[in-house]
Amino acid sequence: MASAPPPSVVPLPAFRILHTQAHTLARLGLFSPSAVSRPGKSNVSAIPTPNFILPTSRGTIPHITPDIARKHVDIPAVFVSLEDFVDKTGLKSPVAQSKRKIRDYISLLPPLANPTQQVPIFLSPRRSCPVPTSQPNSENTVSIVTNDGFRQLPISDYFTLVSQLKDEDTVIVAPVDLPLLISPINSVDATRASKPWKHIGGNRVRKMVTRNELWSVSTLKKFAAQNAVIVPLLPGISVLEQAPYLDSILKVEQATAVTDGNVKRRIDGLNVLELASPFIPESYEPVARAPACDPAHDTTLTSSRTVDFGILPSGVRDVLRLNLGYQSGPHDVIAAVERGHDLVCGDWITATTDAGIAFTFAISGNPMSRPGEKVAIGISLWENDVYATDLSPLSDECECYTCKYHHRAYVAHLLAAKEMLAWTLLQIHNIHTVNRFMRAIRDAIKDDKFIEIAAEFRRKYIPQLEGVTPGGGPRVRGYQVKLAGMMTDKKLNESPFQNFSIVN
Amino acid sequence: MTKMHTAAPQVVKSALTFEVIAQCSTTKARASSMTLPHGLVEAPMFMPVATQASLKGLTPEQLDNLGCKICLNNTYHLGLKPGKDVLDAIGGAHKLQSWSRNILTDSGGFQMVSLLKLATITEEGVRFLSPHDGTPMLLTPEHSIDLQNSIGSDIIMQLDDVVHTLTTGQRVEEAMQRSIRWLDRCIAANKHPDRQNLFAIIQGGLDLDLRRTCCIEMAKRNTPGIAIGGLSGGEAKEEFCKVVSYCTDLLPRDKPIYCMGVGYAEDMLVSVALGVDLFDCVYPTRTARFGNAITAKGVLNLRNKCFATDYSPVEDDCACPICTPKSNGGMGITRSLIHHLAAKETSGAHMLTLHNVHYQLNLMRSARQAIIRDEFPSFIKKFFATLHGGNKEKYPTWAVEALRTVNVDLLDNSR
Repeated sequence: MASAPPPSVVPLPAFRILHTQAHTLARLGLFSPSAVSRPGKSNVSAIPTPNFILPTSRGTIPHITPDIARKHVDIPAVFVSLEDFVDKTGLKSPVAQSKRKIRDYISLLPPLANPTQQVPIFLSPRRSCPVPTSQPNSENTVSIVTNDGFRQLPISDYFTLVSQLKDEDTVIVAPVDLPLLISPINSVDATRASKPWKHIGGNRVRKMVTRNELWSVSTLKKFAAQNAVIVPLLPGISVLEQAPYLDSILKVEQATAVTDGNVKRRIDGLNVLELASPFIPESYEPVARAPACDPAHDTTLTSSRTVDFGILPSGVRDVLRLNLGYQSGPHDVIAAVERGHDLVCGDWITATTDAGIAFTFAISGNPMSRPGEKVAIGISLWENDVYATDLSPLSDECECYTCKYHHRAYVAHLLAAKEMLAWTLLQIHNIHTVNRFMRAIRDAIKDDKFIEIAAEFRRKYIPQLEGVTPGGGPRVRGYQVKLAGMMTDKKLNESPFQNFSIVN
Repeated sequence: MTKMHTAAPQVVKSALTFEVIAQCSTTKARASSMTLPHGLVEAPMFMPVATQASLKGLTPEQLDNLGCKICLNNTYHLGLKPGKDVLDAIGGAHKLQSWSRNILTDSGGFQMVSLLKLATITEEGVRFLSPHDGTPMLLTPEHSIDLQNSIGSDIIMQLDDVVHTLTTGQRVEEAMQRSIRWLDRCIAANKHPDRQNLFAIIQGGLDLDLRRTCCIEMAKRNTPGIAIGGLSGGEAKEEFCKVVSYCTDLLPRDKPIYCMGVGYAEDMLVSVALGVDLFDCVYPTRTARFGNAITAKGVLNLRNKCFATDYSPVEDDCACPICTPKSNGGMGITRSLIHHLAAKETSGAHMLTLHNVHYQLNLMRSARQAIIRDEFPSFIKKFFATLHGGNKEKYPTWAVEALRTVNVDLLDNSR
């Protein structure tokens, strides 16, 4: 893309674009987290993009033990949040005292099929769907939610912790200052939020730009020499307004280039935060929207909710675009790929699993058999009357552990009995299905068929999970807790037993 | 004796072969091999409990990798969910949970203890209101066996009249006599004696005379195996050991003896010394979900703050999948990580379940090896010494007493 420096003196950038689409912003790429420090000597696997990264909760993949993960679950990369590990002792938190790298502490094991290739880790201060905090960030602290409650984590402590926990392959996600930190996750929170989260006021914009500049620049200076670093692109602000911020990030690479002789470092990725919430009907743009290459597109402002990469400065255009926003299903993922995003966050996979739903969607090379008739993207195994004796795999032709060795009837029984294994089996299957889906998307981009595939997918499948009725979920765990509203919201699950006298 | 058994007792077909491999020369412990329709079970054996056709978060593959050859399903629970019709349509519990090894099902009788307030027990069966929807249900010996036939388990248990262990008086005898009559009905009702082994259950509370009558009567029926029931309900351990030892003396030695509901390591080892072959208990899996790890040195509550910065494995030199270091192909899980996850993430519970089930299975495996080498007395001494850190004052009196009856003196240093 931009003027490529001679390869003899410069390590490969962590991200390389392999192929671009003619009519969408979709692109095929390869993200190699270890290219930064040890080009060619990687012991973490490179991530072919577009792809997903799976958020962990307290360092584990929800429902999955490490032995199952390495044997049956192929995960392109995991997202680990530091706030899951920090307690009131701050720098003395158990994880820091362990003198172990985060990968060792959480026992993230390389896949059995390829034991020399570790799973890449994205280390971020906060969760991908962070719980809104009671206190705002300040210039020098980021507000986090820990096991012991809300805390203000000094940015300097954050740097110390990351330095201790990271290894040379860890991808560092820089801290982000956002007004509400994230758009409300459900409509209850949305109505309760006092400040409109769709519009950020002028003073807050200036504060946001200053803080993110400060934090991103110091993160780059601290870690960019050895690690891939991902800095935020600020949501809800026009590119003009955040131009100073982007400029200073770009200047960091020049500064490093001067001080560090022949190493010309660059930022490796943009953390693209989009203010879109699937729970707010108006913010949900129908997936039938025209591809993002529309020339009539406003070229001076990013949309308030999505980012148009076409107008970014060239220096940040060909870096990895990580979308940590909440996707509500495969349609959102296709839309994100169309907008030029490379990595999307997989919270929706776990959310689907928790709802007792098994994905059945797939991108197939064949045209749809019955045009006009849309099918759902998954089946709810809570419908015990439908699946109680169904001995077929969760989805046809699936080769995951669950589908190979178990059947719908078992998962339906486990859900009805509220046995924890239900969610383990669903999670294995759902991750497998999304892996297949992402692979098909990459193949389509490579073959210049992405537009057709995307259109066919939209014709074939009902968006999101309409028509699929979820039942109750597992017992509410940390990653599901949204502190705001917890007091008044109805319990997620009905109590399984009642007072006997009431029944009679 | 209140009521004589009129008809000549029926004799049961057996779908298992039981062979005593080695007999301890000091105690009543024995190592045996039991071949069931779904493969070999080497006793002494602990059988983990997969109440609702799932071993609390473990996949059947993980359970198999732990070396588990037989697990329990609960008839009462499977009768409610997924129900007999579904089990018939699917073709049994093995197929439901994709478990190719053996399954043992209880009769549903144990639930009578917990549902006693709501249940009326008559000669016909147990009448109670379903705790799920309040509909009246009748559990008869025929119904219980019918359900277990649908489940297709390799070992099925007779419906017995369970009274709480601490019950005394006429009711205990009535329950014992009724259990014998119900055994006859169960034998008659078993549709698959060629592939489902019906075990009798000895009742009689803590009354040794009643236990004797029951043992003699039930042994006459020649069931493929015999269980000692009605224990582990809060009785003193001394009483428990007395009853177990008394029963194993009376029961035929060519049949597997199963002590129901026993799962604490000390209880199992003492019972092995008293001649028991099989055990089951929800304890290791349940306690794992509370963050408790069973180790040779005792139970560790890993939710305790002191484990937050303890970076050693859950148990040193443990060969379970979570304690084995990563360099040896294990997961290399630390106490600190379990502390970090316990009661917060289910995968933490699953990891401890793996460890605890491995502990139980491995304890019985090592006991078996010790019996075969005829070193069981020193094995049991070493076990108690490790558990109590060598402090003999901490040894439970009941265990010392019980083991003295089988010629092992825990407090004696020689041998």
